[in-house]
Amino acid sequence: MVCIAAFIVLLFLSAVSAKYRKLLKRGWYCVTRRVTFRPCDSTFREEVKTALLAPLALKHPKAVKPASIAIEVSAWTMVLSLIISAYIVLHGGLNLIAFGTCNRQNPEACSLAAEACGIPTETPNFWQSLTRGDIVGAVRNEGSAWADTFRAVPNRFRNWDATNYLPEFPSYRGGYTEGKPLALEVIDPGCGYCAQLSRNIAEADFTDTHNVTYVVYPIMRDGHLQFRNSELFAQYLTAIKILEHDTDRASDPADWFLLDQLFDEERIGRAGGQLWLNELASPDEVKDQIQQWLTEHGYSAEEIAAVVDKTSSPEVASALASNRDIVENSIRTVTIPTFIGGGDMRFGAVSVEDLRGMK
Amino acid sequence: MSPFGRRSKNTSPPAGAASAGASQRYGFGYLAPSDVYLDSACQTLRPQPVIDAMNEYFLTYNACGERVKYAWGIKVDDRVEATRAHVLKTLGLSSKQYTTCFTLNTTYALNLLLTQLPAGRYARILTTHTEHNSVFLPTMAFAQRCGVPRLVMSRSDDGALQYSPQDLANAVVVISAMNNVDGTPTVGLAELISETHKGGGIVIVDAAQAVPHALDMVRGLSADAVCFSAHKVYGASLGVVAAKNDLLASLTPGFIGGGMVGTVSEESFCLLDDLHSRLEPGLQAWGEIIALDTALTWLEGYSKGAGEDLHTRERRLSQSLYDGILEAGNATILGQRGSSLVTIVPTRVDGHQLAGFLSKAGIMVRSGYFCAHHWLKDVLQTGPAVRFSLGAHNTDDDIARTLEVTQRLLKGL
Repeated sequence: MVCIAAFIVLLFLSAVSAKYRKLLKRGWYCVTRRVTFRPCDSTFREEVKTALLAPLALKHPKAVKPASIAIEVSAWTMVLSLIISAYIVLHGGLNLIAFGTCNRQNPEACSLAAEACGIPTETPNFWQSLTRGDIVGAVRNEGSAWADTFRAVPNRFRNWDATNYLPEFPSYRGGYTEGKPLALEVIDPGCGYCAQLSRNIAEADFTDTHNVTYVVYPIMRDGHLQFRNSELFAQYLTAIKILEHDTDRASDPADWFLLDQLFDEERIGRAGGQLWLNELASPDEVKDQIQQWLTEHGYSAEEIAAVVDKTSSPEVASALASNRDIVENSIRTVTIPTFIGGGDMRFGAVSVEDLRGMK
Repeated sequence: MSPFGRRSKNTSPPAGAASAGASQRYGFGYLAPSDVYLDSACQTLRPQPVIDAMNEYFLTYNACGERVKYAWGIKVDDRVEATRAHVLKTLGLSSKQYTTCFTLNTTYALNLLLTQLPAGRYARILTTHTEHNSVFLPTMAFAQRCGVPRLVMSRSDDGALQYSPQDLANAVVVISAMNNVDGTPTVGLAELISETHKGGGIVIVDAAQAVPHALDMVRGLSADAVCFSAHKVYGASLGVVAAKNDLLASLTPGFIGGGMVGTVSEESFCLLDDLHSRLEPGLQAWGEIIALDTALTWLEGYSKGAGEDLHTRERRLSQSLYDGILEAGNATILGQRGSSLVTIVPTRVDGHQLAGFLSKAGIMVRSGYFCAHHWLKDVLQTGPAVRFSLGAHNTDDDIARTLEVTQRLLKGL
């Protein structure tokens, strides 16, 4: 292990100084032998240890043995740390490619991930299972996580067609226009990045060239809603979509109007729509606000009552369950928003430039 | 008595080598007191006069030898011939029967001889378990190439060889006069040579360690060839062979080129009558050859210059070293007290590591198996050993410093 550890150290030293490169070559020879389970070049190993221990040996010979053990332990620790780090980096890197986040357990904890809200995995990870004493579960979950990742990586590079993921009763911003390509967003009304994506779409005039629809997906964390009023808001959006489907209102859908009001930072006082929805408003206040916005959009009292009545219907529940299935099992994303358009799937708030470049 | 230990009327210290006491480095004034070099068995340090001789050649008459007619070249020829004669004189050999040849080193010399011995002439090849790889391996190659048996002789504890007269019939015997691991001399070398000759065989002696440390052992031996290295006797890097004229004349040229032939036609050539050319293809290391003459002269004047006979001094210092290491314990000492080599196998630390620690203290020793892998690893089954080998530059202070550090390490590690 000492020669492997020495090689790692020399690798860094060689990057900044040529004088270590000759030693690096010897270290590499030793490493290749060690990793192929052949005897290492003991001369190199001993030379490294001797060089480290020599000053101590001349002053305190009795301290050499414990120091030698410490070097071996340090070398093992260093190499094991490197292996574990490499393992985590590899798994994280593949997850980043496949899911847009290096940490599926807690997607937002990945600093390399797109600016997005994450859908956390409910399954405990390897270390969590291990700390609970569930060794079998730890291995099984880790294997399952790798299998998910391996399955998802090729998906990332295939051609994505939004029509394959249309929700029941889809509604299109500004109505559906024949001949325009389709783009689809997966959104949670409470997620700030979804508001940003909405603003980017508007700035890019993306709806001029695309039919844009969405799948609403309230994010759950540890069995609870991540944004406490998202489910309620999603129920209203879905009820409206069901009621407006195949009607004249579909050309100026009220659900998109509600989303625009919610995502408008200036709309509800200084706090902004989403902060109000997530932190300040009670469910009743949310209902009142939605009904007020529907009135603004031209809904009559009867129409509003029908919407309210529909929110608690089995149809809405079924549509939301269907959305969950689309997101978790068909698209298999853990990032909100996820955007499917231009033959590609993108994570987070897609930039204005990217949207403009999308065909 | 060895010329290195004799106070000779004709040998005075060369210029630049002032007399020195036991604590001073006669001839090695350039060496810092803190540099403790104890690897003379591998290569001795060069005294100032030898360095000066090399410089003089390069700076004032740097010509080819044995092929030019101008003044510098003639001077080179004179000096080279003087060296050849000096080698024979040092070895106590007759210039009528023997010729001095120069090669790259002892290994090269032994290989040149063995690879050019006439095919089918010899029935077997003999060597011993304690040989340096430069002897051990070429004998293997010879046996394989010639399809003859190879016998590896054992030695008794005092170094005496164990063989029967039948083993020596038509044999090539290749043997060291003193081993390079612990300095044990080969007892009965003269008898071995005599009996081999009676059986129709030849004896090639590796005297690389014996010439600098036990010259008396090889002086006057009637071996067919005596090989040693100038760089182990305070000269520059060079191999030396003093071979019988009959042996040189019998060689089948297998390595041939410039400087070896008198006439050349399209399909044939005629070798020169100068027998030394049989082992000297191409241009030689003239400066190194000339410097060897100076080194031998310097050695002959050592007693007078240093105020102490070299072998007496080496023995005194090595005994002191031996006793000190024995007192420290935690090491097996190979060989006998009084040898110029003190070789130990430490029991509580790896030999290479101990050598590394000593190096950190400015003490340069050799560690490992000293090119005697078969003997140390297969026969003695030891781990890496540490060899302290003394030379003419070493002082009492060197030994005191070495013992101070080595004892502390052996006791403390």
